Amino acid sequence: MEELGSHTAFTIPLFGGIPVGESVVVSWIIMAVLMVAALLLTRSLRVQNPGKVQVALESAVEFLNGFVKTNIGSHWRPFAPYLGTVALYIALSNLIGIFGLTPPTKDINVTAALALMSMVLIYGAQFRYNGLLGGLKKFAEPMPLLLPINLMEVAIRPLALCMRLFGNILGAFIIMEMLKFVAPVIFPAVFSLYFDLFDGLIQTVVFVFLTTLFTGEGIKEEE
Amino acid sequence: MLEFHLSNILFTIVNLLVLYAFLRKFLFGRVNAVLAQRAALVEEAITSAQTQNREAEELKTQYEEKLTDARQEAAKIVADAQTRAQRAYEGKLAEAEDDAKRLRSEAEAQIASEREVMLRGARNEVASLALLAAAKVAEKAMDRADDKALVNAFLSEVGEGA
Amino acid sequence: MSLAIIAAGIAVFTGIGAGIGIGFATGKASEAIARQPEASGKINSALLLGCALAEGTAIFGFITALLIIFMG
Repeated sequence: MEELGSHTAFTIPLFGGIPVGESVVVSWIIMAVLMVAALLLTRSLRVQNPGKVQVALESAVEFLNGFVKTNIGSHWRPFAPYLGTVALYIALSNLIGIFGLTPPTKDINVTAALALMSMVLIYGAQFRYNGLLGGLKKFAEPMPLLLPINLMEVAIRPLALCMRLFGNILGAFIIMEMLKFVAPVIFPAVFSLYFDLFDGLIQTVVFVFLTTLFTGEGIKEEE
Repeated sequence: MLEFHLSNILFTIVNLLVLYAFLRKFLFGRVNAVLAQRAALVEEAITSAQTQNREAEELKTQYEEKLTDARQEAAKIVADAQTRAQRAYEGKLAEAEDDAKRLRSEAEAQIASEREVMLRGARNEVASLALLAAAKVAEKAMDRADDKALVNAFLSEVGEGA
Repeated sequence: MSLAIIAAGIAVFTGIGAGIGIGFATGKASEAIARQPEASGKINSALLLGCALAEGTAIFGFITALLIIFMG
């Protein structure tokens, strides 16, 4: 049962010891991979006659832009890079279990941080684009009767985002561990395809999709 | 497993912000810049193509105008030449008709004068014959001048009557 | 401890609700796609959202079970 928990990789000997979790260390690895990949991929971008890699990269970014544009509306531009970053980070975090590292999203601290940032993004955008009064008025929509529910959602949305991601990854992890314990040959590989690849990617999509949707809900103009 | 460490949450947030800043600058920024540049390029190409099209259209209309002008000019020239030729032809025709008329009138005049001469000759002949006959009848010579005048007067009376 | 494990087992029954919900949603989505194959993109995204929300129930049950086992 010990391995279900999140370990502390090392402790910074400052202010009486700051524990640094294993997930943070793995996050650093993921960040390093993403940064190097980004630098390598964008090393020689050309406006004319793009290479195959560049075409793939461009279509991916265009897909992200289109997705954010459909869900958020006219103010999509500042949100696309953040949502893309979160998508890349979560996807790689979920998939890194394949390479034998502990997925950082198995640590509830990581998903809590992600959910907190989503909350800041959602409600920050709501107040940023509607003004203070307009942002407050958004809580009374579609009708004033729903005001308490909307206020509860401020806490429920990030909690649900956090728990959904964490629970899925942890559940998959537990099932995989149990499978490895029961049938250590072949089986784990097959189920790893589902639990690590498919479920990991689905959860990435769900997290980003929900964040985008909530953000768009907060700032979209009434049609 | 469910314990929250503030330090880990803060570390993750910092990680995400750093990653976001980095990727925004080096991945999304660059790719979006390229996309924007390409869009601008396409826009520019379309605009320039439209401008060129419009210019070509203008040139075409100009050419067409010039062509119509030239065609009209040519038609005018041909018409001028035709009228001139017509005029010349008519002039020639009139001249020829005049000539013919003149020739005919000359010929007629000549014929008339010849006829006159012949008539006069014939009359003289007739007069002399008549004198001769009268002399034969009268058994005397009637070739004096007053006789001749008498006969002539008679003959002219007859000729006018005839 | 044994009582806590039974409680955890009961908490995991939330999975039933999620399963039924996702099953309904998927069935309806299949019908919708069969009726209007050209709208499959929108239906798929709506289905994904619905499944994610329905699945949340099961996840909460799972978390509750974990809490009962490890915290209780």
